[in-house]
Amino acid sequence: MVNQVPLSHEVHSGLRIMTHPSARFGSQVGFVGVIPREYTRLVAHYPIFFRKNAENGRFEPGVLLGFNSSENLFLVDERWDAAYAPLHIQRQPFLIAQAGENHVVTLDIDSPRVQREQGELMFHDDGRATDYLQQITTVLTDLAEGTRPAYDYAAKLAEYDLIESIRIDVQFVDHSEVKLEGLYAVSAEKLQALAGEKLVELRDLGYLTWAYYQLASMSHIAGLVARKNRLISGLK
Amino acid sequence: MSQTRSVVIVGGGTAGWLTAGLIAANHKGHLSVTLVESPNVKIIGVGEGTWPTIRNTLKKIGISETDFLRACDGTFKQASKFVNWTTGDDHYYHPFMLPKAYDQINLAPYWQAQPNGLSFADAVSYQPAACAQDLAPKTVTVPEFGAITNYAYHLDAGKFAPFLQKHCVENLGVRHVLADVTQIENDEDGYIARLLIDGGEAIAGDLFIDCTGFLSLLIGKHYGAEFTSCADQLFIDTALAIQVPYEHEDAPIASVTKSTAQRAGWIWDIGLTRRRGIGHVYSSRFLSDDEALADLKAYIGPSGAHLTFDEVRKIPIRSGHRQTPWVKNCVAVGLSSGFVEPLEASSIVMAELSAQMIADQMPVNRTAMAVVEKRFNATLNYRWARIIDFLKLHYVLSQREEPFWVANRDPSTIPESLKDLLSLWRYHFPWHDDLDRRDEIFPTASFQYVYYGMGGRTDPGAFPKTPDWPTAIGHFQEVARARQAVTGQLPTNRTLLNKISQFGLQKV
Repeated sequence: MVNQVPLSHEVHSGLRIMTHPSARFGSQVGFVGVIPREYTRLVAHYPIFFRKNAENGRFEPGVLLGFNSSENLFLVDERWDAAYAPLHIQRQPFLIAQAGENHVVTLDIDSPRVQREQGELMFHDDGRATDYLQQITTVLTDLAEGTRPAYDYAAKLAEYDLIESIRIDVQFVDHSEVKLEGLYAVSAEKLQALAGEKLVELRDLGYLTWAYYQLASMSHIAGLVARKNRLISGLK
Repeated sequence: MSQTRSVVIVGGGTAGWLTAGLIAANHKGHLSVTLVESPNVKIIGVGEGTWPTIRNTLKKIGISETDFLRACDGTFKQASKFVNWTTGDDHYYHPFMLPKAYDQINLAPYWQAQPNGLSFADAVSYQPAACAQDLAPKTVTVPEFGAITNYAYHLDAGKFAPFLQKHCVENLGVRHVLADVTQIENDEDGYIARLLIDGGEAIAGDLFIDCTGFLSLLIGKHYGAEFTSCADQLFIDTALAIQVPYEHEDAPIASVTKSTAQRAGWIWDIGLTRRRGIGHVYSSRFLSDDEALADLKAYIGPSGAHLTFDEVRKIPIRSGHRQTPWVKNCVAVGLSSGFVEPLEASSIVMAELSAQMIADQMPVNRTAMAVVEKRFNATLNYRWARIIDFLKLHYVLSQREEPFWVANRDPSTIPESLKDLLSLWRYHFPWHDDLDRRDEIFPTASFQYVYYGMGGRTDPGAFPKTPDWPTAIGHFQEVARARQAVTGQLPTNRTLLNKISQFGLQKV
């Protein structure tokens, strides 16, 4: 179970973090949330969709990693098989929490990533953060600052009817089939038809660029199918 | 040949604005739509129930479900629940979802042949279980107008009409004129040529739609279309309506219209977001107003103990309908066309269906109009007859012994068409072919729910000669599985409505 506690050098100075992805660290997820400032890097590897938050129904962007909720086709032999992993993957096992006006870094103290012998140290002996922890803090800050814009962007696209529900029906090389539901994408047709004030507004907000990144990223669905087919065929 | 270019609607209640919306949305840019509304008429607006058709109607008009629910205190309705109708100590559901696999197999004979303690509705549908737990028909991730279980709404009619008005005027180009009609002028063929309104303006039109409610200004007063009363069949003639607050903010919102039988009528109970609408409808032949108020107070409980006639609205109910709701270039929609007791929420759905029919079959000229008139009148008469049959069914199957209920079972008060159906269903299980039309207002499934819900039975000899037990049992098991799965997944009505109020639903 997840047990997030505020990170402190007094309590956690001797602990180390295993940073690589692994099934035993819970890296087997088929979908992970992302923020728009990652899009320039995500677009090289993953299809970027929206899904609905189960609690409030709002659209949130994320990338598809596999064909069911626990299939991650980018997890290969405890290695991330792409040049860039989404921030929500990189941040494990840390989180950032709001405490009044400030952000507080928290650590899932019960995560199997937390070790004493192996892994990256978080603190130097004198209590300073290691380069590793500084890098994690940057990741967490990016996420904290990028979540709100992600929602705002999705909400604006939804308001202008630019989001469409899509269904992915795939047949793999062994003739097994899968139907993915609950995924939403930017509508190329409707984006193309957008004109006038709305178009200018999206451009000024920077949303137009993000929307086109998402459209371009759809080509990676084929790449994902190819990964799955290689796996089925026993190829690496 | 006079072409139809402009439509004039008189009356601005639910029926008027629904009609304006459907016609304007359907014929945008091709027809002008004007709605003339008296500034002095109070809209009859109680908490009202609808049928699932309303979702498609709102969608067609171009309304957002989120906006609608927020503006009209709307809630989700999945069924009618009838309490104490059969013996005085019983209840049954008439859910909106058809019995399982209704297009493939009639499960009624199998249910009757193998009693397992489940009511008919529970055996063939998981929806009553969802209703019993006050659940919503979907989750917050389901898009606007989409459903997990079939549903309609409860709404505040006093807020619904202004909401529709705003949309019709701002988005659909409907011209809204606030004025009293002072005179109606015919042309030489007896068609309405124009309305004169106070202030002197003349409003000309090619088709005039009477949505003036019980006033029935055009179809009744002007054309004198004959009113056919059904008071001999349906005895209810008076309603006492009141709004009751919830006991606390988080009180459950029922996902049914609850109808509780009384000694000479019944009480409706409709949950909106912030209050309940409750009303006692009864027959003044069998019950005095004082007795009716006393029964209403008893139903409400301690919080209603001090109610007086000043706080309840007394509404007369004149059950019946116009024989010719369409005369020349004038057609009635809503209460001006007809009304029966609100037992199965037939009022708004009748207005919707009429308005939709007019929008779909909009006659392009007077030659076509004469044909549409004939067809419209035939359809409406058929529909009213089916509604009367269906409502009367709720009364004739009762075993209650009060004079009102005994009188309701007098054969002379039962329409011949219903007598035929009842005779038939003693020896045949109700099925698709028993009713005549493709677009029945109440499908045979509704008759099944009420007939078996109230203890009706069919001769076991009618059991299929080539039974398919494995299929039937498979369906019963699937209903049981779905009951677990779906009710476990759905939030309560209150929870979902709070979320919609806060976050809204997505359009896709």
